[in-house]
Order: sequence, then structure tokens, then C-alpha cells
Amino acid sequence: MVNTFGEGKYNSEIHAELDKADWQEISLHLLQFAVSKAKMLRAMGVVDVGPEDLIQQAISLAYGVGPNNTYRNWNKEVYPDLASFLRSVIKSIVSHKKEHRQKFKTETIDNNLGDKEIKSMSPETPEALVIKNQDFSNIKKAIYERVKGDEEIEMVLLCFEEGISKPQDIAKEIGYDINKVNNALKRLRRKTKDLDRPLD
Amino acid sequence: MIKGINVMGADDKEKTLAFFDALTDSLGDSEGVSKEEIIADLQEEGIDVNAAVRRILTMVENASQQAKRQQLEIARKQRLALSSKKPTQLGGFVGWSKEQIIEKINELLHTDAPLASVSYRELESKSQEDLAALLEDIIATKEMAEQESQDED
Repeated sequence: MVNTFGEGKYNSEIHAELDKADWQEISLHLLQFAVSKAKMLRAMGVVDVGPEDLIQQAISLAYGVGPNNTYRNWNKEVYPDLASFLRSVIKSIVSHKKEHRQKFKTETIDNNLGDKEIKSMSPETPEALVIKNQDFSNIKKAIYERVKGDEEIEMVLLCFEEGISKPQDIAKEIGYDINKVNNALKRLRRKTKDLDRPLD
Repeated sequence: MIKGINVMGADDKEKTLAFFDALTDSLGDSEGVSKEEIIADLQEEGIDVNAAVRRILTMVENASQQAKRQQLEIARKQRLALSSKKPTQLGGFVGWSKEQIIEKINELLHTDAPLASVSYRELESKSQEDLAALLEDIIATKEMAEQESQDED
């Protein structure tokens, strides 16, 4: 598989910048983002990747000690703050895992060597994909059901349908005050807390 | 999880995935959100925030150290490759006392930011030859960094 993470190369100045960063603060932003993304992966059936795994991989890539010493160079012109850059790295990792998940499924099989099980990858069958996709579509329907009557969240969901995700852009799109959008997102976060578990 | 057997088209599937991308981007976006609010949200998710942050700080420290070791290793390999082609580079430190070499190593470790926190305990217990090799590696790493910087300019 083509490794999409190896575009950068070691740069001692970036290393020094990374070392100087306020990781205490950045950690909180990364956790918030990774929790959200890990939930989506779990909802897709990728159960072995937790939020801290995503953060670990992003940090490793930023320092150039990822798989095969791959790098993602922090371009400060594109991402002036480190948290945004690392969020973009996490997004790439998630996207990569999603694509992989769509092509393959993980099977757990008995290796007849005691209690231990081994995992193998095999192509996803078209039938399994249809059922899984339908599951995902049903999760979406369940979210809409849960927020029924909360007009502000419903408007926010419509923005997601259009691929608009930044709170500022959502505010602009639907003509809401940013605080109103943030409050709607907060309520939505509570209502989708169990996104990765069976929804009623 | 709710299950249905209706067939979903490829376009619908893409749209649904794009919806979840936007949803999770947005719910994970903490720009402009106060530290206290983020902590409260994470705690609501059942996360022990202090412990998680401590683990992330350790990840950062480990990644930084590993990257530094990696650069030293590259420099070491380059030195070995060079020394197989021409007389040993360690000759550059002929006449240096062990103390002088240690002093130079410490000086470089404290002036070159990317190497500043590389831990070299018990330098004194190393042989003069090992110390000279280490000094060569540090100098080579520094030169590589300078070269990279010039290449980018």
C-alpha cells in the first residue's frame, strides 16, 4: 500500500520548534479532536484505534519517527499553530484507516495454539459492505431523530451535509452568531456521545 | 446498532461518509474554546484528563529523543562510510585530552538546540576513542542540520 505519510524530511529547526511548543495546552485540543475521530472509526468497525493511538501516530510523524521513519513537516505558513497542524495529521491518518477499512476487514481466527487469537486481513465482501453502509446510514438517521425539534442543531447538521464543518463557517452559512453555533455543537456532542455504540 | 437491508448507492455512501467527516471534525474542533470547557467535555467522555495529558507529554519526549538518536545514527553511518574511504576522521582529535573532548561534547550539546537534551550519562566512563567518535557524530549531525538549512534557503 502506498504510504501517504512520507512526504516530509527531517528538519532540525522544526524539531526545535516542536520541542518548544506548549504541549500541555496542545494535548487538550488533540484529545478533543482524537476522541471525536476515534468514535467515527469505531462506528466503522475499526475498534483497535483509540484517541491516544491517533495522537501518538501524529506526534511520531511530526518528529519523523513514524513507521519507516516517515515525516510530516509542520508548514507554519499553512498551519500557523501546531494544534491545527496535528489535527490535519490525525485527519490524514483517519482517512487512511477509513480507506483501508473500506477495502479490507479484520478477521479474528483461532490459531489452534491455545487461547491466543491471530488477526488476518481479507477483502470485504460486497454483501458485508452493503450491510455496513446501511448501518452507517442508520446511525445518521438516528442522530437526526435525536435532535428533532432542536432547530439550531438541525441547521448545523444540514451544514455537515454540505461538508461545512468549521464553526465559523457554519455560523456564516446559516447566519447564526458563533456562540449560538458553539452551544448547538455542545448539545450535539452530548446527544452523539455514544456514536460508536448502538443507537436507539 | 440499527440494521436495515436497503441497498445504499455509492453516491449515498460517499455523502454519508462526508457527513460523518464533517460531524466529527466539528465536534472535535476546539478552536476558540476555553481550556476549562475542553477539560469538562473530555471529563464528560469519561477521560482522566490529567493522566491522558501526562501520557501525551511522555509521547512527545520519547519521539523527540528518538528523532535525535536517529539523526546521530545517520551521522554515525556517514562517518563510518567516510572513514572506510579515507583515513579515519577521529584523527582530528589527536592530541586532545579526554577532558577536552568531553568539554567540547558538552559545549555542542548545550549550544545546539536539537541536540540539547540528548542524554549522555557517564561520559567519563567512555573510552577516549568512543568519545572522539561521539564528538564526530555530533559535529556531523550539526553540519547536516546546517546543510539542510542552507538547502532550504
